Amino acid sequence: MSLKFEPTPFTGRDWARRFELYDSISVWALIMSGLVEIVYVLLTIFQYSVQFLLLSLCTLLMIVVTVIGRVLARRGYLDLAIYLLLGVVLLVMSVSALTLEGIVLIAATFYVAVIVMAGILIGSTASFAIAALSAVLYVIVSVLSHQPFIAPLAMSEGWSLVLISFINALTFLFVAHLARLTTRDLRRALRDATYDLVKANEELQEANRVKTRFLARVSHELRSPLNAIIGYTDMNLAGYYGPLNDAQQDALERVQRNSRQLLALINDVLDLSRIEAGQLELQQNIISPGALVGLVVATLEPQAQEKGLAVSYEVAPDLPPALIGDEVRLNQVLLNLLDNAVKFTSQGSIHVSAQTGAGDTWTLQVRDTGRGISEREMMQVFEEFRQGVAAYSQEVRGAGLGLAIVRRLVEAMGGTISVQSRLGVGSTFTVTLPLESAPQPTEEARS
Amino acid sequence: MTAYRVLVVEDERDNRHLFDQLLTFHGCQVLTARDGREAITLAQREVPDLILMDLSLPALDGWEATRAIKGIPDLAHIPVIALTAHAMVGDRERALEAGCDGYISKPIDVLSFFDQVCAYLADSLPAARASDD
Repeated sequence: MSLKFEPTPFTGRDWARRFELYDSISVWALIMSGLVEIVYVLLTIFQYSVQFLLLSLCTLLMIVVTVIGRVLARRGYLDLAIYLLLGVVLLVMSVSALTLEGIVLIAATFYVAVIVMAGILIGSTASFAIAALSAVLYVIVSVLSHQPFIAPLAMSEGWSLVLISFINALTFLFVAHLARLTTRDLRRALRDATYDLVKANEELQEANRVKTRFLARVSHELRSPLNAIIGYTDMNLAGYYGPLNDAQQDALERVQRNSRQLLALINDVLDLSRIEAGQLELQQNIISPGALVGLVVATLEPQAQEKGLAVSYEVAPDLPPALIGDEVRLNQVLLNLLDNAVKFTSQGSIHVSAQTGAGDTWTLQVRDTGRGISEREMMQVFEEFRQGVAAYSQEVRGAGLGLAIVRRLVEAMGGTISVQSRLGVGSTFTVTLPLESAPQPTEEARS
Repeated sequence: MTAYRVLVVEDERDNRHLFDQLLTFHGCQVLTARDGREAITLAQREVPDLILMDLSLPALDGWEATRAIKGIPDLAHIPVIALTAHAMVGDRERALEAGCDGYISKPIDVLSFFDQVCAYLADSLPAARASDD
């Protein structure tokens, strides 16, 4: 089974997630720029210079743009708001670096913060674009700050250190906040994804239950009319309604054959749905391999003889006469395999054998001289509703459920099934089952 | 020999007719009911020797009807055989839990059906007749 991840249920949640991140980051950006603005305004008043005025105006611009961005985000223009925030931070950073001597180096941490922010808010591809843009801006600012026409404000070393430390501290705080946001966001995303998976799994199981109930119901509805069809036909054939002429006898036998085939099909579909739903309960009977093989061969011998096929069987003498197994299901497995062999063999013979296998196992084998299975078909032969290509020709009919059921039954019994085949030569199906000898074949055995 | 009196509870017309015919051929006197309620009423009035009970029935299903019949002292001795299409896992177990004495799978095997029915009759009839006296 392959899992397919649907992006749709997540996109709505993704928007809310990004909005929440943006909301938190933009609040922090507002607080930080507010603090920086206070410092710049105080500096502009008490230590007036054009550069401080420019910086305080710039920071004010950032505050205004961020507030506008938050309004836009609330109206649904989240991407625009995010780009506005990133843009204005880059702008303010670049202006600061150009205006204050010694800030250029500090700006590097700022750029890193912006790149991380972009990564969180708009995804990895866009954050690489922002990283490239930041690198270009950083180089430009570095080069420009050494040009004679730019006159960065040279502050006393003491003031410069205080300001740089202040801005640095704010940046570190901001990065710490980003890191906290990201891990929290990842935890939530993981929790949401897990929740989605659990829910999807529950829905899947429920759908499976509905399917099983549906199949059971359909099968019940199909059996009721079949009961009447088979019942009346058999009563006719048994002479309850008086003697039949040859043509009537023949016609009714055809009805009987076809209705039984239909019943077998319905049983197969139901079996498969039960196995799939895990409702198969295996019994622990005491079985005799010899009786099992003999009974199945006797059941299908008439059909084989009708096609002119010789059926032989052999039970290895070293096989314990009494084993533990599910009598009905083992019978079903062998019956299906033999039925299959008869179906796909037009001349030659069929041989059934029961043997001890390697380790603690025993095997049931059905060998035919039929048309064989090609390598390509071999891959699919145990899947539902598959038969070899010839299956849909006139000679062979059936829904192709037999081998799928056999495989699942064998697996449920803890065994394996394999097939060896050559086109035009024949096929050998081998069922290997765990061997469990019955303690004593007493009369209590059959309960 | 007095004819066995068998109550067939089956909602589908053709199947009801089939059981009726088959049992009549074998010399039974057959009563029929279409649902669980009718079955209880008829069982109380006629006190049959055996009841064949389809499980999925309208009005009152086979499990409920069986439980009701087994709860009536005068009727509790009557063997009730469930007719199951055994579509759902547990149908049979539920039938036995409800008080059914056995079950016969649908589609029935015409040739062995009467023998199966007789086995249940033979098992419980002497006791049943005894308690009638």
